[in-house]
Amino acid sequence: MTSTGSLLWLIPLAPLVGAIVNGAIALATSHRERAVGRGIVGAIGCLAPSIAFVATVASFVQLRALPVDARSLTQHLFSWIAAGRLHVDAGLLFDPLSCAMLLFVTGIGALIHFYSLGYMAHERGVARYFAYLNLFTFAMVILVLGDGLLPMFVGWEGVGLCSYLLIGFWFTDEEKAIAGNKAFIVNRIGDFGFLLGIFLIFWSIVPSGRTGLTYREIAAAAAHGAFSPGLLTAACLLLFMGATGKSAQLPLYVWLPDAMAGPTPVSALIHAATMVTSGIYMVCRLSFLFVAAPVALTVVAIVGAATAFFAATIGLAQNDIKKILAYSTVSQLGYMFLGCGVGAFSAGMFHVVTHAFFKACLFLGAGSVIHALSGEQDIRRMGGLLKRIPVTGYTFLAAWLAIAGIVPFAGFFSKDEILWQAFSRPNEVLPWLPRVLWAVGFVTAGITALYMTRLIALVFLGKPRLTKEAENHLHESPASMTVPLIVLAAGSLVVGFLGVPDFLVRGGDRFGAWLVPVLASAAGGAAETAAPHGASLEWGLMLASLGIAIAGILAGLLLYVRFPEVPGRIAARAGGLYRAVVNKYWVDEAYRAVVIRPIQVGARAFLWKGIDVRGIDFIVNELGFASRMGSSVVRIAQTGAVQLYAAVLLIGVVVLLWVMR
Amino acid sequence: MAITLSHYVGLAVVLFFIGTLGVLSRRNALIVFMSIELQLNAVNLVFAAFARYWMRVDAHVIVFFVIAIAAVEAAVGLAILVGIFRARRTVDLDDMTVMNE
Amino acid sequence: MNGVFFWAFAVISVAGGLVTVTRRSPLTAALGLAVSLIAVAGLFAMLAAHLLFILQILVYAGAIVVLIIFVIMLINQQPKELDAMRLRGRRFIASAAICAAGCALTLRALRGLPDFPPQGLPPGFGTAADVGIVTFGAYLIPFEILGLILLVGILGAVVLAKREG
Repeated sequence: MTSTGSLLWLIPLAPLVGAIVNGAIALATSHRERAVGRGIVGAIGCLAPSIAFVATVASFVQLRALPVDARSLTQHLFSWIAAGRLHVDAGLLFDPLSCAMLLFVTGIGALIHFYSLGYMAHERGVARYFAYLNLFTFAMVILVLGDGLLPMFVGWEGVGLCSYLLIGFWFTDEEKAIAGNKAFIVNRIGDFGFLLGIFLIFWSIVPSGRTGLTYREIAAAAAHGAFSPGLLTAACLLLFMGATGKSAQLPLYVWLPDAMAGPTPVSALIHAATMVTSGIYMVCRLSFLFVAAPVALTVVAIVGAATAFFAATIGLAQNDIKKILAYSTVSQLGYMFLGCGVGAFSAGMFHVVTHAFFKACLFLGAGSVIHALSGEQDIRRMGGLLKRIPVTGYTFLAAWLAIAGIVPFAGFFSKDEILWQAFSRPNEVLPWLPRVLWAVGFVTAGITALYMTRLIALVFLGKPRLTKEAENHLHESPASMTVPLIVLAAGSLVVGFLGVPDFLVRGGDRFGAWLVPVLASAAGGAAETAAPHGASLEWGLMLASLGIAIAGILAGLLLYVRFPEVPGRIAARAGGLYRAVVNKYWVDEAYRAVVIRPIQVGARAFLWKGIDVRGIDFIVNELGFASRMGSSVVRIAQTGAVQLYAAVLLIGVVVLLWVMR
Repeated sequence: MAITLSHYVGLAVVLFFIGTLGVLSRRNALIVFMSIELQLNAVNLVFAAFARYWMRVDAHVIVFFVIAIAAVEAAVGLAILVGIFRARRTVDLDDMTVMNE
Repeated sequence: MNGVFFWAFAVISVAGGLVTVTRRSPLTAALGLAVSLIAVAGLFAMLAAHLLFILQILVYAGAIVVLIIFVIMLINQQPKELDAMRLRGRRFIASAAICAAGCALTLRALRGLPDFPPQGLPPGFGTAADVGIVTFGAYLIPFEILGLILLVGILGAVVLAKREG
């Protein structure tokens, strides 16, 4: 049924070796002021993911050669856990889904490693940076390639750890260190749910014998009806809770905007293209479970749509270029979950791929802008940069058109597919839901176009508003940074053609077809069949999507280029609403008041003062005191009068004699 | 009435407890010492009686040892007593509570 | 005949003991001790313990009691000091009670001891020769150790009795 992949082990191994070598170099040279061996470190750091990418491509070629119904490569590494009924092996599984994911993870990952060479050229700690980055790549590969829930969880935690390490890369700045903490802790909360979900699944499978919680075994158990509906829904909801943490959905998205404290390539790789998409990957991997729990799937769709809208509105009022892109990422991730939530898993995955290209391009472009302006991140102090840094500018524009959803760029096809699936697939839990979901997604698409247009307008167009020093040092980025930008921009243009809907070009959805053996389809209808409404509805909706995107762009250009004083007046008119949006709806403050402060107060007043000091210390001290009191009583018998001792002895003998009389 | 083993042992018990009374209640160290000799004496009587009963002289050997040891004990003990008297000018046992606590 | 002597010696020894235990003056107490010891020597004679009879008089009543009297005279306590140490009533009654109880219980525990056996003693029982044979036979090593103890005792007494400097 499956063949052994001969090169699969190389894909995780190369980044791991890179991480170890660079890590050793970092440890060895940490005391030196000047960076040592920057060239070697960079070379190793970039070589590792490149090797992984080549191995992935080779495995892809190998996979394509296999027949459709046997399309997977496996590799067994070693026996990991053997405890009672739990027998987990460390194994790798390369099938169409993990292949698709891994191609862009290693590919875009390698590009970003190259970009980092230029971006981090003037930084200290480069060896540490590349060690962490390679370690992240390793963990991400394990997450994707793992053949079961537990290897995935290992990778899941690993990417969380590397996210923390990289966000807090400049840990001497307290704010940045706290941002790293926030990311890790919020992720952990989600991971708690993830673990509970794994436990529930294990509990359901284990009565029928040994298990290693591989996807194959879970699918077999599901087919045999091992999961009760209630338990399955609970498990899926808990697993999704982990996804909301890792993929920054409501309510656990709060770490992602703060994560922009890390270096921009990190934001591009981890918080745009790879780590945050692992939640969607997990849902797609377990699509057969979610499909059997329609309530959970509906929750996924609703959360995704809500998050998409919510984050887009916040993005309208932000002024930090990276924060705008961060909220944009949260919003686009919502779209992916929306796609999965209505049962169109391949549509969700397709958006993952297109988003990886254009969002990475946007982030790297932002990094290039920041680099060009010597560290400026506030868009109110930019402007008119298109002529000054043209390569950055035009690649950024390409990505802008993609995310706004303009044909024929990539984002158009993937976003439109999601909206179409949301509209057309019936929902058995809430029959009125599909229309609502489509409406939310539709409006959000318009808002997306609007805030992205605002971004490029304020950064690249119009009159320059730069500070003096930024003006003086303005320069285009080096080739190590611009080449990845060009590659990604080209990708944003071209990748969309992998998933052209069938009603336009027969057999055009090559991406969806590739994933068919792996992804389940919701009971509402397969992804490829023609809609019962006929092609005209599809055309109509597609044109509507395009229309709202163009409307958003026009509005943005009007508001921010043609009549720049208007937004200010709108903001003043909107008053409270505007303040709410600018302050991100005070979500962080709410969490602080409702969750964090009670815990802190509780810990201090109750657990520390109450239980520890008054309770436990009290008991221990009183025991000591009682000891001393007791001994001072007993001490009275030690008079030093020998005759008394003799008398007592004799009394004892008398008592004995009496007892034995 | 014939004098039996019980008579001798009974007498010895009485003598022993008279000695014990002295050990417990007197304050003068010398008198306590003499009471101890009374106790040893009582024990010797028991041994001699049993030797007569069992018609074996092994008990006499024990009594011999007891007497010898009593002599040594008297010598050393009285030497200590004299030493204490020289240091403290008293042989009152109630004043000698250095080993308290 | 036996009974008269036994009871006489018994009464004398008990009386001597009581004198020892109750008198204020240590000298009187020492004399009481001597009387008691000699009475017991008489009892030894009645028990055919001839060697012990001699030893009791020579060593115990002779040497040990005399040694005690030497020390009494050496310490030479004045009547004032002796008065301070006289017997206190409460203490005496308490001790007497304990001792009486002990005595009664011990006697009770020892009831049922048999009479002396019917046949007589072998001739030469309890003489020096008889005891000597056993001492230098089965109990030779304890005897030698006893000699060592005596040596240690002498040394100890000499060291302790030396004046400082």
